[in-house]
Amino acid sequence: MNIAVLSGKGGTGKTFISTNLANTIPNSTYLDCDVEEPNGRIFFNAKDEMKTETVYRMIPSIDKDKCNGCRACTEFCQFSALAFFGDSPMLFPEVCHSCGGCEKVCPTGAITEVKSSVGIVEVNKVADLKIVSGLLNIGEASSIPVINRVLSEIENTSIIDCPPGSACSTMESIKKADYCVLVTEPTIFGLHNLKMIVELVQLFKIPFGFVINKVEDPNNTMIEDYVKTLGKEVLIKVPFTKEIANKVASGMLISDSDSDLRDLFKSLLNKITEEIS
Amino acid sequence: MKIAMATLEENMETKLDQTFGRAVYFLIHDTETGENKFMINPAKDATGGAGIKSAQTLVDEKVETLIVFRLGTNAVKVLEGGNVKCFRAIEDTAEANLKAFKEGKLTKLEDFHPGYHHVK
Amino acid sequence: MKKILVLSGKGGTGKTTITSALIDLMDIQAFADCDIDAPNLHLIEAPKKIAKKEPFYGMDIAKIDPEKCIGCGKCYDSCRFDSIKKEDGKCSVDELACEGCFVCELVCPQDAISHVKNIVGTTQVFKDEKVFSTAILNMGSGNSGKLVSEVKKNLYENTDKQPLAIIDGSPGIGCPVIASLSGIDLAVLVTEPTLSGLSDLRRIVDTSRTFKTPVAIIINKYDLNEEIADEIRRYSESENIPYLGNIPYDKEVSKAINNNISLSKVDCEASRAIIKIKSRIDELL
Repeated sequence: MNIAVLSGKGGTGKTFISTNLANTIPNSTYLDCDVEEPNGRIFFNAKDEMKTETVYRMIPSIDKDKCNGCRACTEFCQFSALAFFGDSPMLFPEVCHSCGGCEKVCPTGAITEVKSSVGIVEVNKVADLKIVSGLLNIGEASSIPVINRVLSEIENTSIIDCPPGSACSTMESIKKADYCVLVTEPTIFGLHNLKMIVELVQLFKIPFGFVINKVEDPNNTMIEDYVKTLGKEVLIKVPFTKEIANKVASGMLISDSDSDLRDLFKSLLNKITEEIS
Repeated sequence: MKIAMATLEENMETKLDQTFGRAVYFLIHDTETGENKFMINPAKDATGGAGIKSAQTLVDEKVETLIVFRLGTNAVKVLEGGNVKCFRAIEDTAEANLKAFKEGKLTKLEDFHPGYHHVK
Repeated sequence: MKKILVLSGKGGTGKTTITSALIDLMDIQAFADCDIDAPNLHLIEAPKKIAKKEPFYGMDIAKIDPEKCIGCGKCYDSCRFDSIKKEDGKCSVDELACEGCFVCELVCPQDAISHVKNIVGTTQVFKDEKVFSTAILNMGSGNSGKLVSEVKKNLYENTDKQPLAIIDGSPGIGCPVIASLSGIDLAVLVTEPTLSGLSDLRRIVDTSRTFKTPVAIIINKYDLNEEIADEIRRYSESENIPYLGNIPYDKEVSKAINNNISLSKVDCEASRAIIKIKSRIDELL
C-alpha cells in the first residue's frame, strides 16, 4: 500500500506526519519527494548508507563536423535551448527540456544525446525502515526525473512525503498513491490551500482523508466544518505544544518518545487501511 | 549598420523597455538608409529561454549594435556569438538614445546578470 | 522604487504573516504575491477594486484528432513526458502532463496532431490607493517562472511614485523563487528554529547569492527551540548576513490571521518584535 502525504500550504507538517507514520509501521519505506528541500532524512539517524545514485536527464550533443548548418534543430526547439550563429548551433542546457526533438529533426545525424546530472537519490536503512531521499541540484528546472527515481524505490508499505502545493512536482509524487493524506493546520491559510489539493486528488480519483496538525484551540473548527461538507470525518488531530515543537525542531521522531502520539499514528494507519478495504 | 533597442511602443518618442528577453517591440535603425523599423519580439510571450530567442532574432536581423538596460548571461552568449556590441541605455526616448550613441556618449554594457528562469 | 522580496526556503515559516505586517508598518503602497502555487496574501490584505484580470497562457499543448488517429502509437513511443494515453485503439493527450515540445506532432504519420493554446493560470491586479498584484497557477501546471515574472511586471506597470514595494515569495528554491529574485534590492529570509528550517535556509541563501541578491535573516517562533535559533544566529554571523531580529511564538498571531487581520493592527509580543525588525529593514535600505 502506498500512502502519499500532501498539504497545499507549506509547513503544515507533511514531513512530521510521514516520518512518524513510517516509524510506526514495521518494514515500511519512507520516500521524500520534496526534492527541492528534502528534510525527512534529518529525522532518521541513518548511518548505513546503502547507495547514492546520480539522476540524469538527456541533453543534445552537437557534432560540428557533421552539422550542415540547416538550422532545423534551432527552428524546432520550442524552448529556445538552441541558438545558431556562425556555422553551428549552441546549446543552453538549463532551458533544455530533454524532449529529444532536435535529434529527431537533424538530417545529418549531427545530434546525439548525452547524460546530464540533475540530482541524486540516497537510500538508507535504519532497523527495518528503508529511507529514500531525493535531492535536486540547485538551479535545476525540473524535479520530475529525481522524483521518479525516488518513487522507483517503492517497496512494502510506502509513505510518500510530497512537495508543498499542487504543481507538477506534487502531481508526479502522487501518481503511485493508493491513498492520499491531506495535512493542514487550523488557519485560514491552511484551509484556503487545502481546497486546492482536494481538487487535485479528486481529479486523480485517489481516495483521501484529512489530518489536522498543530491543534491548539478546541473552539476553532474551521477545518472540521469544511471536511464535513465533503461528507467526511477528520482522520486524526495532532495537538500543538511548545514541547512537541521543540523536540521536532531538533530532529526527533516524536513517536519514539511519546507513547500517546505513537498510538495516534498507529490509529492513523488503521483508519486508512479500513477506508481502503 | 543596424542598431537595435527594446522599446515600449512603436515610435521614436517611446521609452526603452527595462528588460530585454520579453520586451514587446524591437526597434531596428539602419544608419545607411536612416530607416526606423519596429518589429514585434517573437519571444515576448516565451515561457523560458526568452533572452536566447530575442538575441537570436537580432542576430538573424544582422544587427551590429544593441542599446539596452540589462542583459542576462544567456542572451549575452548569443549576442557575442553573433558579433553584436552592447551599450548601456540611458533613461530617455529611443530618439535620444540613438543620438547619444552616435555622439559616442554611451558606455559599453559590461555587467550581466545570470538568467532568471534557469541557471546552472 | 526599492523592492523587498520575502523568502524562506522552508514552507510555513511565516512569510505571508510577516509580509502583511510590514505592508502596514512601512506604509507600503505596492505589493505582490508571487507564491503563485498557493497564494495567501489576499486573505489578509483584502483588495477591493479589480483593475485587471487576465488568463495566463503556458506552452501550446498537443491535441490529437481522433478521426485521423490510427492508433499506431508513434507519439506514445516518442513522448518523454508520459503525456500520451493509448485507449480503445486511439491515442490522446494528458493535458496536465504535456510540455508542448512538439515531438508528437513531428512523428505522427497521419498529421493527426496539432497544438493549441493552453490557459495555466490567472493574473489579477487590484488598485485603489494601493496596488496589489497576484496570480494563481492552475493545479498540476509547471510554467511557474514566467507567471511570477508577469505578476511582478503587472505590479511595476501599475506603480507610479511609490518608493517601496514588497513581494511575498514562494517556498523552495525552484522556478518561482528564481524568477522572483530578479531586480530585487533585498531578500528577507524568514526562517524557523528547526533543523529543517536551517537546512533549507542554507539552500535559499545559496540560491539568492547566485543572483547576487543581498539577503537578511529573521527567525520566527524563535523560542520553540532556542538552541537552534542560536545556531542560525551563528550561521548568519559567519556568513556576514545581516540579522534583522527574532519573533517569539505567539498565540495571538493565529488569532489575528484567522480573523483576516494583519499583525500590525494587534498589540502583542510578536507584533512588537516585528516593529523592531521594521526599523532594522529601514536602516538596511
